[in-house]
Amino acid sequence: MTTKEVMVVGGSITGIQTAIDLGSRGYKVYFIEASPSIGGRMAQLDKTFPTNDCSICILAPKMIEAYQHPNVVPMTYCDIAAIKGKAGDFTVTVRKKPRYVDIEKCTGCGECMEKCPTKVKNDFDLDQSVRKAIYVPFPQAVPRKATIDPKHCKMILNGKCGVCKKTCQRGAIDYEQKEELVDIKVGAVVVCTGFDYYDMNKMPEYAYGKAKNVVTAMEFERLLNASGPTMGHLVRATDHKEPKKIAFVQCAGSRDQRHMAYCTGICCMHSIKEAMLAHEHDADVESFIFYIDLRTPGKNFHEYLKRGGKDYKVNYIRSKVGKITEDKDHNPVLWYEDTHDRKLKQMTVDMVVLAQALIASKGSHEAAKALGLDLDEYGFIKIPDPVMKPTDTTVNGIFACGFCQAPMDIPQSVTQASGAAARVSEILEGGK
Amino acid sequence: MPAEPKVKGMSQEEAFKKTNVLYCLDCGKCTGVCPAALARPGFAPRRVIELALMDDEGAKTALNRYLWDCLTCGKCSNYCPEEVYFSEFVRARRGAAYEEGNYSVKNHGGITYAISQAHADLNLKQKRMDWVKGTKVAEKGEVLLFTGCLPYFELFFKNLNLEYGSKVLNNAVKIMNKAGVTPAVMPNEVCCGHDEIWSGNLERFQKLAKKNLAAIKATGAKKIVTICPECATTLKNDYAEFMGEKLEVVHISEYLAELLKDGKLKVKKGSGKVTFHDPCRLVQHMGVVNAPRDVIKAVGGENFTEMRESGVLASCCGTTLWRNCDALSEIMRHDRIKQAMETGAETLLTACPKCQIHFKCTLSTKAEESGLDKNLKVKDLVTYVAENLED
Repeated sequence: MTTKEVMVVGGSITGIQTAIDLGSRGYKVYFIEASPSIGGRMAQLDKTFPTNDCSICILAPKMIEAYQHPNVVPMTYCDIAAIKGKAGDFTVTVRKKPRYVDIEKCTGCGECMEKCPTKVKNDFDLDQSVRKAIYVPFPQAVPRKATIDPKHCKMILNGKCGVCKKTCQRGAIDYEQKEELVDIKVGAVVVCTGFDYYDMNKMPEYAYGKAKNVVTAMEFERLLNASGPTMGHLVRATDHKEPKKIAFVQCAGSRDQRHMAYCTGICCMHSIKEAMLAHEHDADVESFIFYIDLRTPGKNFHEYLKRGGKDYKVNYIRSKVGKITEDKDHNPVLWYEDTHDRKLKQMTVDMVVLAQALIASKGSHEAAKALGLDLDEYGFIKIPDPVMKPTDTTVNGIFACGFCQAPMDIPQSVTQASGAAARVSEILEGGK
Repeated sequence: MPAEPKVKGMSQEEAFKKTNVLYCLDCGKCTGVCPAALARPGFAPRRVIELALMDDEGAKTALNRYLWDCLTCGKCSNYCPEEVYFSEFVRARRGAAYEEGNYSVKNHGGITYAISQAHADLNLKQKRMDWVKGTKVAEKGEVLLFTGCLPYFELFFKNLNLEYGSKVLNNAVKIMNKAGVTPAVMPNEVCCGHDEIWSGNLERFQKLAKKNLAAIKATGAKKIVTICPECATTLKNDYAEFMGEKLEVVHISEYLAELLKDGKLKVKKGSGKVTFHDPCRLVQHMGVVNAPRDVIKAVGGENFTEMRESGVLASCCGTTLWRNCDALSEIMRHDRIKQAMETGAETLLTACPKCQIHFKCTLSTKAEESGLDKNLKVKDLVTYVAENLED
């Protein structure tokens, strides 16, 4: 007997689309997300290419649609512990991590966050701002409920504080919550666990961490964003000056046999986008994109590249930057060979943005381990037949889509999400 | 593709395959990290490949110059996204260049090459053990100390006040004796052949290697310790590749780090601020980053400050193979010395006799006119440890 229920692991845009598709087809969907809110990486983006639409404006309605869907059971702050059974009849053990907040009672008013005395680096802004030990990760979070960060909360760590509990008029704070394991029967599982970032400290030549005005693309994205660490005011770290000359270093860790050998696939486009957005913030901003090849193979992508050059003061320099040093005013200095005239040159800029390689996420590895999935040579979830069965994993009845299986952009991820949903319905209807 | 030049020991096609040059993306990252590109306008590691692939006289002329501008320090290879081994490629091409009689200027009247030639072709009875004073060495032993050209350098570079030859070798043996080791030392040791093979003279390299291999065998040594990183990489990597002999070879910095870790060597705290210059053969060719630092930190502790560009980011001292030393190679040396001065160190430690000679030469002859601090001391790692041994 095939169970007409399904589990989607990962609350990214990919997971959201899968959950909506399957829910709308009438299946009951257990929608698992490890962090306090669904939304994934797309929630962190300021704009999306090639239309420069506001990312959260597209995403937020989708988040709400998935979360409030009558057939979707959202389970945030949960992850996968184990799986038993086979396609059509799996039992998945889900770990419900303690939030220390009763989400039935919490209204998301935010008063606890105001009063909490413990400041913590905000990982949503890639540590460029601070949040509190009790927090809602971002303004449009779904669910908009508070969560206590057990690694930093003084009450959880050593039983001293209790300010949030005193503050909360709804009595939603519960320091006694414990981890729970629940078994859920499903017929199929879809994994949509996205990407993490390659550690830029492994490329000392780019001085990341040493030169403070060298940032990664996602850090820069947050600086551009109105709800980011500077409320959308584009300034650099050392002196809060507005940068006028910005360099983008492509393939920082990708297409490199010593780091990640594959092309991350989206960085050319997001660097052009960020250069355009910086110019929109301040018309004096001029950008220099240092590239090996500009890879823009999507619909309207090449036109986007041209538009950047024509209308947004984006300059394209064919060169992989050798190294980055810093002058006495903390201006990054790029050392590179201009491959057109074959000369070694130096360029001093106000800021450098590294198009850092994107890698399979830690969450993907954990999910793959719990679900018994094979990984490929780079740590992405292995797809044995990427041509004819592009979302089938090595376990029958378990599917993977989006960046957890290979580098891809948002439209491709969403397409795969709907594809995986179609494959799931085949399984749930007794097919193979 | 041009007609195949004769590359001794390796055909052009083999050289291409082995060194990945056809995967070159033309991205120019090699140039961005290259110390020679900084000092010699027009030079770029990838230009060597481009020119080698072109079949015209102009390209050939340019190639002949660029081939010898390269320091073969290997830094570009370690940053190349496609793992193109530029220095290996240059070495292979120098084989062909050598055949055609295309060399670069040898410094010091070519005396270092005269010695390696004499070592290779004559049966000299060398008087190379005179440096042993008050230390214990043997003819046979588990551990062999390969002394390198140090006893010769002492004579050539008298004016530079080197601590080389008697001092550093005795210091090395003193440390080894203290750790309970009596190293074997070979009175009939000859030049390791480093400069010959990197100049493209494979034949002479093989002659030298043959003599050394026979002598090494006679000592019964299991492990070879070298003072010079050039000897280390040659004995370890090139004797394996070109002579088919796999030897266990460590540089003295690795050996000292090992002794310290095993508790066989006890040091006391040294005074005075120090910094460290990574020799290209040690860091880029052998990938040894931590060992010299473990040794320096054991003695210097917080007195040790890294230079702005250190470890794999460090550039070569500016001259290799006793060739092409000129005003432009001084640019590279000045950069390293200025970085050492920035750290506020009194002493610049090195782990390579050649680096020491080149730095001392620059400091003793050109310091004042170029704003360098001529009081900056340059010292070998071995001496630094020997001066701070626990009694």
